[in-house]
Amino acid sequence: MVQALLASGGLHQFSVWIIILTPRLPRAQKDCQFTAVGSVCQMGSIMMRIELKINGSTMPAEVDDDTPLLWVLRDTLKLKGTKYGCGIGQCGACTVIVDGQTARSCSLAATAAVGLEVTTIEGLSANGDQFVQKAWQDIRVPQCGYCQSGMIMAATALLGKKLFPTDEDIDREITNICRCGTYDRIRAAIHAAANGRT
Amino acid sequence: MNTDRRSLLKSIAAVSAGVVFPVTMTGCRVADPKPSDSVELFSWVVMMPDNTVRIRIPQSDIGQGVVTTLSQVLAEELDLKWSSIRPEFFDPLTNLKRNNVYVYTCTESSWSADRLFNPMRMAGAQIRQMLLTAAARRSGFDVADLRTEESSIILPGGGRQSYAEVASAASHIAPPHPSRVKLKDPADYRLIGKPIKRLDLVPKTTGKLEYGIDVDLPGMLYAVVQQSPVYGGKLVSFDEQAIAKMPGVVGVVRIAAGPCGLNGPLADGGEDYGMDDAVAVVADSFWRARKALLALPIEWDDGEFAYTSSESIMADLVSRAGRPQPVVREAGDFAGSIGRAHRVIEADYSYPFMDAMPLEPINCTAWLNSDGLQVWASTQFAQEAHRLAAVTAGLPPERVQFNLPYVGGGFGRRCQNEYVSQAVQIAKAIPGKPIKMIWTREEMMARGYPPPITISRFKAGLDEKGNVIAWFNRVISGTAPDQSYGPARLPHYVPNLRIEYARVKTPQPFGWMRGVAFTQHVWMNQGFQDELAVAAGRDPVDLYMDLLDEGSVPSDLKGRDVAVRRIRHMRAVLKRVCQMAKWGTPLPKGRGRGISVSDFSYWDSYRTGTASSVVEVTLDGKGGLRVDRVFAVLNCGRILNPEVVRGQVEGSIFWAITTALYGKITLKDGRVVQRNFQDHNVARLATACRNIVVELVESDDHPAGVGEDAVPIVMTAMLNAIYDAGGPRIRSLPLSDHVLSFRKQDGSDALPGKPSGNP
Repeated sequence: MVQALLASGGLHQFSVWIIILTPRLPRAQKDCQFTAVGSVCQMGSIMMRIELKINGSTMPAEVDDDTPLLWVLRDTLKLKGTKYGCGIGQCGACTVIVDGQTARSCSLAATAAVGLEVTTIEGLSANGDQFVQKAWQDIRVPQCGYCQSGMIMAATALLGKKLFPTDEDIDREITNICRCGTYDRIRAAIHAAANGRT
Repeated sequence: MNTDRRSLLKSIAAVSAGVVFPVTMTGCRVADPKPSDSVELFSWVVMMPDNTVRIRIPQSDIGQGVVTTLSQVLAEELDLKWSSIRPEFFDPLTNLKRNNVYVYTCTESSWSADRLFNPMRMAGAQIRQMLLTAAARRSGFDVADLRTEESSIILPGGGRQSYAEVASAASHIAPPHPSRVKLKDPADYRLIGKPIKRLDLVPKTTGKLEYGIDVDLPGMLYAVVQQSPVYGGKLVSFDEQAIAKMPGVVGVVRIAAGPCGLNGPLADGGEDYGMDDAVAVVADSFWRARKALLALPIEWDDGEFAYTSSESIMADLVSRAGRPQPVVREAGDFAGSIGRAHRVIEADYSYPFMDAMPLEPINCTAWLNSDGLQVWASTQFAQEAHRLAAVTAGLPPERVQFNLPYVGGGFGRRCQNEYVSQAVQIAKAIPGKPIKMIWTREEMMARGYPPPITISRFKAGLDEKGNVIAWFNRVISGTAPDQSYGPARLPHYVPNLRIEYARVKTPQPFGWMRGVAFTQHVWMNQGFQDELAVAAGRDPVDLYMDLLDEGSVPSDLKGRDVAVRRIRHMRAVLKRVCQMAKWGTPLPKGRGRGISVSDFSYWDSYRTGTASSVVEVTLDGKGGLRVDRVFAVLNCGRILNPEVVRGQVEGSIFWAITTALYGKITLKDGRVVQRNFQDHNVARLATACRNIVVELVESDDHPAGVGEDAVPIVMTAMLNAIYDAGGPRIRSLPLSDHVLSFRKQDGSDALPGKPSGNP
């Protein structure tokens, strides 16, 4: 899975974030529905038929074994709320929640998500009234909005782990990029979501 | 309408089911150009039978909120019920056919409020008159006896007619001449100036808003491109056989160098900046296309810039800075007065190439079939994208439909439209199939449109009291339109002044970037003024106030009233920010304050906002920097929506922090060194200041831009604050190239600048 390691000392402003990607094998191989439907191709990728558990539903997909979850979500399953921003796990526009943990779906092979519970922005609510989404609306966070799916997913995961995240928790856990510069409101919305949660 | 189009519409309807807020793709225009019972009025609005109203937004929404603010402007005069408004983006073809009825369609220069405030108020008022006239004829009352509210006409006695009821009759009435239309008294505004929530707020939190990259069409193929990695390079060959058997690969397309669309009205004579040769791999998925492109052997001829680097360019600029350059502003006798000065201060400032890096990667979807060409692209300049698409396809404009979706960030990068040309070239090679072309982030960074690399050499003379009596500034920048306003349009009238400005050709085509030349020159100018204040032992505010002296404006100056107004506005915001930040109160060791003030006065008739900022920073003495507090005051004329404006100032603050900390694109052997965000960090939550205070000045002036004014002043204040905190004087960017330790006693920097290990 994706781990972010804080690698430098000094003040947090100049901390160096290194994203380490360790492809995770399916938990129980025997439960997985791997079926090679094509021959091994030149580039070493194998086409597979997999089943993913997305937002509580089981969704079948045929994918090359190295296809990132992001592109399966967006282009195969048409869940377009999860965004492509950098493709290397830096910007977090593609953040989804996998078994309660945030994952950069651009850097996680879809096959590695087999057997795991994947939640995307579409799975938070039918009408945009999940508590983090509501806080985002109350604080009026989005500008262009492109990063906000990933931000909301990262905030939801953080609030799932901690009832009242501190500013330091937010700084450490949410490394997503917003180019419009809505950071001040993101921070405020996370606190508002924590305080408004019933 | 042929089968292709119909099946497209069906699929769009299916995809868009449940979309809360209709975007262009799902709006009535594309899906059904003229629903039989909807009524278009005066090109600007479409009255729907359910009494909802489509408002045509003639700008791209790049996050600045025009969908909401411009709706407020038109709906104010039309007395629309706010909840009935369903904005949609304008159609460039309609605008072309109707002789630019939408007035101003390029989304740049922070001009949407300035350019559209009057036309959209007037359009709303004219349409209201048309509806009133229709209702009067129908009811038999005089127009004077009718009034309007909440999308309805109120008859004497309290009877109501909805706009929808009279819309059809109104559509046959000629719009009244503007001279016969009375606009509202601003005191009666109930929408303009109110902190209304953005109309697209909810879908921006649910993932349901459709950006260009989300366009999805039946049978769509995906393309990934690589342009010449060296600017100006030519494609020699590629070996498509090497990837022919890779799964899903459809083909390889050679994309010819060519025009990338007009770079915006400010560019010199509409110069068309170049797009280089490129190769596109088309496949049945993005991932497969990307993999195949990486595996495709391509041979390039790197061309004239094969050995050009940022270092060699900067060396050239420095050498030119040693020679006289063309004078763009002059007063008094600089050469004589500098000889009489009590003290002479000199400094060289420099500014690197940068990249706007909007978060939505560049993309464009194009579909050429027997019906014509359909294009979708997140762009800041849809009108030009439409023109360029038609030219590239070799089709008359009427056969090209351009669909403008929401834009995931612009910041100037999307004023260029070369990607539209690329996608259309691919669609031409594979007709009948919709092609969605997506750039990788790596391609975006390799092919940016930077603001110009610049050197700014200063020399100033102080008299015995520490007054600035002589000011010299020689600026040499890379490829750019004439940006001499940066050094020359100082609001000051120093008695002896000489400003020189020249440009040299550099590899990359120029691009506008949020804050444009003001970010460079306000920082350089006021960084140097801060040095003068330190040298004179004066408070910088005291020095600025002295320089911002109405009495110093020459009485025979052309545009003297503008010069005086600039000074008054600047003094006012400067004074206010000092109060807010408690300027002058002591700070503990290691902390410092900086201050700055500026407007965006490109030329005399340019309506501009004025902003001032104080930034407080802490240096930990070990190279660490924290931005503790940012105060910003903005006078942007009339405020259309204070929450939207506030958001723009907040965004500008973080843009300034990113620019100061990390802003730099490096050329080596003609190539951009930075590949992705791992090589070019940006401000994130951990680096973003946690304490920002924004104040907006109430004003009845014409609305001015709000998206950029705070960028240069916040950056300048931040960099000046580093010196105040005991750190080095910052004369080049980014900060991650500097060691931010404390200065020695003699004032010299502790160490020569070298990377401190910052990302």
